[in-house]
Amino acid sequence: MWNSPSELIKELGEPGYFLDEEAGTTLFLALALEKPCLIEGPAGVGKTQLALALAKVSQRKLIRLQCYEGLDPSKALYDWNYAKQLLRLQLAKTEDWDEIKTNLFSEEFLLARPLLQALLSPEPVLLLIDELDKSDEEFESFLLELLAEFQVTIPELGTLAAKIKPIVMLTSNNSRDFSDALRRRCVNLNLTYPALEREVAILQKQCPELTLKLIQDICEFVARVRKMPLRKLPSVSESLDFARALHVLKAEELKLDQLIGTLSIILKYPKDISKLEERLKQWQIEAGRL
Amino acid sequence: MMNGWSYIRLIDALRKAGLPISPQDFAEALTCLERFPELSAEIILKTSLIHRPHDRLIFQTIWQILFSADFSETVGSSLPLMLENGQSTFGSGGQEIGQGSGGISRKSNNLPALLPLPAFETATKGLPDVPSDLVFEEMVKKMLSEINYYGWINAVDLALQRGELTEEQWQAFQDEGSALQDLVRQELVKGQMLTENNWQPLQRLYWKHKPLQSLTDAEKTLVQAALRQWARKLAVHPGLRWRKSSRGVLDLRQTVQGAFHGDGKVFRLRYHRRVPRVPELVVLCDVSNSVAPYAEFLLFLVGRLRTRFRKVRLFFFIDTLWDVSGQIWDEDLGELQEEIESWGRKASSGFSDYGQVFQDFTRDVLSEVSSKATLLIMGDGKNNYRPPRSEYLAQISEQVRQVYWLNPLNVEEWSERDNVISSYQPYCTKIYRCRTVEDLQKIARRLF
Repeated sequence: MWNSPSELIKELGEPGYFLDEEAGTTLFLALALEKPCLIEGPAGVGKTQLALALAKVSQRKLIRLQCYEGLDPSKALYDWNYAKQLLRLQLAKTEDWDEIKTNLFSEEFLLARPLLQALLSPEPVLLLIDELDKSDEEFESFLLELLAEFQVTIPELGTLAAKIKPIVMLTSNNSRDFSDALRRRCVNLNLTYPALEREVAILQKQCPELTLKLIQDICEFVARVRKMPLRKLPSVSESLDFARALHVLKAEELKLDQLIGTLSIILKYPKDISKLEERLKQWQIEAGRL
Repeated sequence: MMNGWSYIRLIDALRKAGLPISPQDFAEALTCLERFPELSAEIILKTSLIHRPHDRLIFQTIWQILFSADFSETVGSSLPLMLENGQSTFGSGGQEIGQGSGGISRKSNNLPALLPLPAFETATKGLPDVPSDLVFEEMVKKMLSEINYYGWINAVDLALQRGELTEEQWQAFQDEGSALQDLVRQELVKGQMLTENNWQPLQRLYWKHKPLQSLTDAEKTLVQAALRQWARKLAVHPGLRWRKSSRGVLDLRQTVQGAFHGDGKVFRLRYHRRVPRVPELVVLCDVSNSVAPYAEFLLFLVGRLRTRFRKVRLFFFIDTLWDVSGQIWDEDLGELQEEIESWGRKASSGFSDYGQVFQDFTRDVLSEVSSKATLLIMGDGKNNYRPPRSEYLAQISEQVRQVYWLNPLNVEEWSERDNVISSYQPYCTKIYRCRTVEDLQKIARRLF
């Protein structure tokens, strides 16, 4: 698909996703080895966006499974279509029992959920298993067969292997650690907050209506906020929201004394906001001294 | 130049450091190296062999040791660069914390200069040859004092108090200090590996084996996630005894017995549920400077487990006792640290007095504590040459079901002159070392 990491990085840049060289190489190797890619990092650094961008540049259909506590195989892999099975039984009163029994558990009565859809799809797909850390450990173990062999076993039907190997990407915010078994089956890609130049490039691409001066101001301000001891640091998506908010307020440049009221866009906890408000006062005093 | 032997040595070193490297990982790495000779071998091997982000540091250290031209020359080589006055390698921000503003020169604010790192032998001078966690920590302290780290960091704190530094600058210096400590550790581990001629010292850089006190912020986040995960597992781990209940599991025995009373005509379903193994938990936590960095982890774990207990009471102490039950349970590690520090500053002397605390506890609290309660004491047992008054702990241990003592010091330190833990030992059900994440995990499994 791609001959080198730089080619992949370049193509991902077209829809506006900027990867650094090491992360690009890691992703390239995951694709070359046909192994699932486990993307980890704080919320909002672009883990899901990377999967979306990759689906776009590889022209694959995206199948997404959003994980949550209590997610089980019947919601993620397959379920039997009970209503259809009942109808079949009603229509088959005169038929032989053995024949009905076999038919009732055939693919015709199978409801394919995202994981099975990805395996049985006749066209190439990208399977995104989003926020896997939110699911239970049982579900994590259940995924092992799929991640290693690109196949699943359904007791009534046997083993179903992928028709075309999907690209599998898993994301995690590190709210819990995964087992060694799962990690070994994946290539690990760790995304962190971008460097200043990369963040400026992202904002320029995503918000072309903003002036370069405002974008630079915003990125420098956000970088400064990220150095504070906060419960949740502002992510790239919050920088983007902040930039758009300042654009709506018709700001030409970032002025520290005019930010009160906009801070809730970059910070999500009241304690963090009050810490930043305090710090803003200090920064204004320091700026006044210069 | 890398060859097959180098790869095998790399795998061996990584395994000795505690990383699980499977033969399949190795095979995949070799496939990639063969298929993509133009790519960096370091990135290929890192991608194939390292499956956890925090294991990258160990990989890099081993890589440097194995593949730099002459490793013995690299010991201590990164520090002089850091220590050059005015050429801060930190402060301008890396990828993790964002770049741009905030570069701070160490020359500013008249801070004392940091000195160059002395030879590795200086750190080991006067210390026993036996390689242990305790000796390593002593070496770290020695090296830090050799480079005038303590004078420097105290000057940073004083500058903040005098208003010569902004909080932002102070934070940047603190981060720089932590990074410096990490580097010193790294350099010492390298030196030890050369001296001992094995990979064992690398384990001292691994977060699970590191003293909780010396964890970096990133490692603390890992520990926090790990503690949450264990707590989730332990919280659903029920006790062995059953109690009648209006809902829960069907109690077949009681249901059948009940039916007999009504001559089999009245048939009412009866239920029962498991009783939590520890009905009441009382935590006594030393918040003096020497124990506070360890206490936050225990409190975080207990906080996550508190729904398992009928009642949890928490007391902080140094030389007096403060009831802080219900105040801090929902807080994160960072917030807990602040809370512990703020209570620590309320002490009259700042020096622990266990005897006085046990006396206060016996007088004011013991009568309210259930006889089925478990008492958990977190403290290093250093009583600052005050009388241990162990009779009060004896009285407490008679009243409660179990007394567990968690000590952040190594066992060898329990018999030091100002340590009175041996006086308390007869009255404790068990004393555990609670120094690393691994210790805490073992304790949690045994106790809860």
